[in-house]
Amino acid sequence: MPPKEITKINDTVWELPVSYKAGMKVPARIFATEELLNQMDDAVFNQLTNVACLPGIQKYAYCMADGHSGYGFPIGGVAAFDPETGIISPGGIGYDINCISGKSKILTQNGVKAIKKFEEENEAVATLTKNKITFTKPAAFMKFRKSSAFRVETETGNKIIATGDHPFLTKIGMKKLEKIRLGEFVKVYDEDKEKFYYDTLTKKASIDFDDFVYDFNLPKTHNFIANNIVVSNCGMRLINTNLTLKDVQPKIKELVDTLYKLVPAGVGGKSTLHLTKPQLNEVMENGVNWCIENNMGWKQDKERIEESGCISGGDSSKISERAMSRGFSQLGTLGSGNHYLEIQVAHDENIFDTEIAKKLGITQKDQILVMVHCGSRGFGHQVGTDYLELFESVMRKYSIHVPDRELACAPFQSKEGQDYFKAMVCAANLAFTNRQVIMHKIREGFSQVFKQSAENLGMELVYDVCHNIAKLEEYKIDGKKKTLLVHRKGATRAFGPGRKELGSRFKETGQPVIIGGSMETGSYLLVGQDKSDDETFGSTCHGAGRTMSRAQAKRTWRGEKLQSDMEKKGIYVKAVSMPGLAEEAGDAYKNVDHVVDAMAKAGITKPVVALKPLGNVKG
Amino acid sequence: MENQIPISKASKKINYKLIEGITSADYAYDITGKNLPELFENAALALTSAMVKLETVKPKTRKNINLSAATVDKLLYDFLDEVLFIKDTANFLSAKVKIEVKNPGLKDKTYKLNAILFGEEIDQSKHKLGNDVKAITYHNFSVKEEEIKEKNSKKVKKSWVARVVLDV
Repeated sequence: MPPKEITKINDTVWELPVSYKAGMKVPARIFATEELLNQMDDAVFNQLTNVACLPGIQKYAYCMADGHSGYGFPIGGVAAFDPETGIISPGGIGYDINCISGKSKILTQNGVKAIKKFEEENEAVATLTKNKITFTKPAAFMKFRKSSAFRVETETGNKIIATGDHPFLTKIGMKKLEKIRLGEFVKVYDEDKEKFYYDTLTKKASIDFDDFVYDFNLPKTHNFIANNIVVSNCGMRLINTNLTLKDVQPKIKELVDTLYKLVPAGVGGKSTLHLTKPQLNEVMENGVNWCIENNMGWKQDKERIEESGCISGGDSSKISERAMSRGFSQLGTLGSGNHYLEIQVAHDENIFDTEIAKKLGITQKDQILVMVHCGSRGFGHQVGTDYLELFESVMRKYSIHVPDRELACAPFQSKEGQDYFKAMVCAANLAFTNRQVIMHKIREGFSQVFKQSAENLGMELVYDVCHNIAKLEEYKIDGKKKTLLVHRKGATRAFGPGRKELGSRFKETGQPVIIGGSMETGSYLLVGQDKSDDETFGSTCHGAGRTMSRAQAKRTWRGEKLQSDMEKKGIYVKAVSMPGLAEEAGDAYKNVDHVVDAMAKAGITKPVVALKPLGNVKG
Repeated sequence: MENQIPISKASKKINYKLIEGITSADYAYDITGKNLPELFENAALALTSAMVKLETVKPKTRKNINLSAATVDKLLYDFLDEVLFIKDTANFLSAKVKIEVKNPGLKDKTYKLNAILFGEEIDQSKHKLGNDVKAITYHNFSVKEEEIKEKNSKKVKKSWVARVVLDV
């Protein structure tokens, strides 16, 4: 349930004020109907308001209608930061990790106060730097309910209740409480003598502790880069055809089987490209341009991809050999999990805006389209891991402390931060290329089955859009144009017709937005509205959002049974993994219609057509 | 050698389980082992079991992994990441693992791991496959030695436990 402090701005916008949590720099806004808001898990509100505490955040921390809890940042989250004074890729500064009880005393500029009091006022607190005290205002203040903790005592009578993962300063550096043994020294502060000294830990008892615990995050730098947010570089791609249901229905099995053979998917799906190292470097720096030069794309494809399929500034020398190895073996593969390719139909009754549908190439009754959802595969993850490790080793140098290892970071303007940014662009470009290569195979497959060229089959790209990325984009802040670093974590760019980046092709319609629902219930094509510019940093939802865990779905359905049930409903599925298929059942997801409706009511995106599944290839 | 921990023996009991309440879009596993080699072995099996039905994989060839790390946490993360790397680049999955872990010595203060994976190349027509794991995450990642009191006895049993979230 949403917190009681939430206020209704209108039917689809909800706000948590800065007074909700100490340290919030901006309010948090959630785009949802009341029903969807009530369906969101509690962690969403906590994670979103944590994002609102991050340095340099502009206007609001947003969550779209498909929001659910993520790692640090909520899925469906959108936040923009000042690139000079703000941060990149926050993922948040540490959440329910290491905390101390509310009664714990904290040394401030104005004497000792219980940590609980910081809920009301944000005051500079003492920190230890080279054995000297300095006072710093916390960047974030956190409060959580915990059910277990330790009560510890030292030889000279200091007592504190803290969770097992709370770090204490020992003679060999910071150590988690659970790993500190009796007899070990921990550093404590003598208020009277105003000096730090080592004290022996004499008691440590595990206790039941059903109460709130608290923690701070102290900013040591104003701008840093973390990398947990853009590791998979997922996105959606939608491809047109001039075929209709009548043409495709009799051949759906042959078509799905052909695509299943052509597009490597799932565990053991191998790349068929056999690239050389210079070729892979080109992919990372030139994105889909490389495909088009190598006959895996049409010239006009480019103008129908976010950033024309290539973000500039990628530098392949910032990529490790290990990431390269994963790139070689996986480029052009679909992957598994929620990644798929799907043959869909646009029924007449599901077209909500005939004009725009026509402009986007949907002109016939029951027209067939193909949707692809995938990312940069193991490559992007390796880039993430490499820099996570680098950041872990340099955080000390920059005096940054994050309680969650996945939030390891470095200053954006530092060499490490810049190197990561260049590597991240490579991963995004590789993701665009991956979807382009897969589209090339889809064109080939249709061509084989219908014995016509893909050109004759009208297989034009409708659009390709990222939904897991950090990018520099321009927005008006207090009436002035400003370049901001926009983070979309499970959210899609949704530019209205007014944005100059769109070019002539989408100047009238607005940017196409592709929303993947579930393989049973269907998906959507939307267009962005100008209102998104002011209200959501040009962003909207990205999908339905899971409501059921994979573990539970696995127990609830059997892949084989689901496959035959779907076939009876007219959806032919071919999957590498049967348990994997069961986890993607329609009922494991929220109702995508409601999500799309909420964003439409808010005026952010406009539904053009709902697409129904006919055939699906899954990893 | 004094700091040598014996090689793990395959145990029939399943020492890993898929747990709920940590992640809805990914897999979270709790893994146990009576010593470090056993914990690492069980962790590798947990990871592999997410991707393939273990019984369908035959120990036809082997791959070696040799690693060192400053902490046990890092050693486990790197080891699982390596198992995944071998899957991604050599298309190889294993259902049997032999592991040796050396504790830090006086001179070399790192943990050392030698592992042999017994398995075969993935064949989509033969193996019963699960979901492809994209990455090992640090989300809720933990490795701990725990003391468990035995029922009706004052004896305390030590056991290693780990929690690992896999990104699928």
